[in-house]
Amino acid sequence: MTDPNAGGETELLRKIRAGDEEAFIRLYRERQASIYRFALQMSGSPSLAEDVTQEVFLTLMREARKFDPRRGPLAAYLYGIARNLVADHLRQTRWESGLAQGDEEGEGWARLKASGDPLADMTRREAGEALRQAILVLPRHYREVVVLCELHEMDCARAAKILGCAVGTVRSRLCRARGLLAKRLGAQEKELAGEGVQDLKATRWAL
Amino acid sequence: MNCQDFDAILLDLVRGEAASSAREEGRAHGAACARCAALLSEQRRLSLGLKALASRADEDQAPQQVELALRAEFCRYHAQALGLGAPERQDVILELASRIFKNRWAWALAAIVIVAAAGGMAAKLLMKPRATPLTQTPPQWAAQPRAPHPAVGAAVLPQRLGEHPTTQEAVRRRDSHAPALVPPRSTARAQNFSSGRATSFYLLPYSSGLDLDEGWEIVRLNMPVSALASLGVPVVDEGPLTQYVTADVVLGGDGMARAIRFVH
Repeated sequence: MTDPNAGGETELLRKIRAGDEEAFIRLYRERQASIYRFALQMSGSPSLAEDVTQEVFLTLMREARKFDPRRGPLAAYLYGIARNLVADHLRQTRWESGLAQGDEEGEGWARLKASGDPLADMTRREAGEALRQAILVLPRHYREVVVLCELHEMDCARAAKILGCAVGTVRSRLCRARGLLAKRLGAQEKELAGEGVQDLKATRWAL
Repeated sequence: MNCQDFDAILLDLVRGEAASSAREEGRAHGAACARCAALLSEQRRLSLGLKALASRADEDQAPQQVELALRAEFCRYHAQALGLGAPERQDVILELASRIFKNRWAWALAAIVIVAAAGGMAAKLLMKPRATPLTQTPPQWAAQPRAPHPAVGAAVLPQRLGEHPTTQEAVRRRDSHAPALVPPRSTARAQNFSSGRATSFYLLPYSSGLDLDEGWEIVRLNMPVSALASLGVPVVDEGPLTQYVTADVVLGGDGMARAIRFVH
């Protein structure tokens, strides 16, 4: 993830506040993909990711004055808004979707396996889907660090700024999240091996 | 290095963030410890899977309609703000203000302008003439000899001009019982006849009396003594009739003479 220079960001924001539409669209085009992916990877829902992306930039448009470059880069500010929006949505839909909110003890993972949907099973057999689903059923505070540090390739310090916690906290959460992912994917591997589906092993892990 | 130390640097090892010395120690421990070697292998496979997932997600982005919606909203928002919409206008005004006053010279200039404006207003207030209330009696009215109330004047109409000291006394006495003289109305005019001593006013014979509410006016005239007769004033036969006398005549609202006094 690139970190554009703060001076350029400040100038861009000044233009946006002054009503420069092209400056706003330029910033949107630079940043929208990472915000959209973050929301998608956190929620698993393209429509929610779309809504969150739109709301993030609407917030920036209306409250650009609230952004303080001394407190962190613009990217962190935008991720922070997106994170709050996703969290709000997940809280609202907590009881609507068993997969939307995972837990450390693996209940969400168990629901995923027990879905019994042939189409979903077919989808899961596609490369990478198992890992994606495994991330989605992680508890949110683990999912956040996996998405930011692994899928968005941030270092722990930057993720800590976005999440508003200490670097050590991010590191420990990331260790724990990776351990959970490895454990769950390993368990699935064993299940598949027991069912004689050995040929999927490589696909699931190597994607 | 033991297994606990290995666990502590495992994240750095798989993310490629470990120092070279720690990396060597970890590799050496992994070669000797099957548990830690398996753990490292599992985590490396996971890292590969995550990287592949991240690279696949690089193509994901918000649909075009989001940009279109944001463009429309941006135009609407700023049009509203410039058109003085309530909350948005505040943002724009604050933004403009913060831009203007972000350096100390702007603040100093603003302070000078405010002080100058305050000084100008104070000077203007000090130099402005004091306003006179519309109902206030003009100064010349206060200095003007008071005319007798018509009811009073009628009772003391002199028969001869020589009687005026007694009459003046009577008028003054009756005046004290008369209602206070109201200030002249808009139709009335009172002049400042300060020069010369004057007698009291006498109601003219045959006049219909004086109603102050109808308006009145005092005029000073130089007239021949013979003209007094036309006003119904008795004229003594001593002295020439062509002699001029100075008199203040009270005219009623209809322009007719009501009372007269003589000025010595």
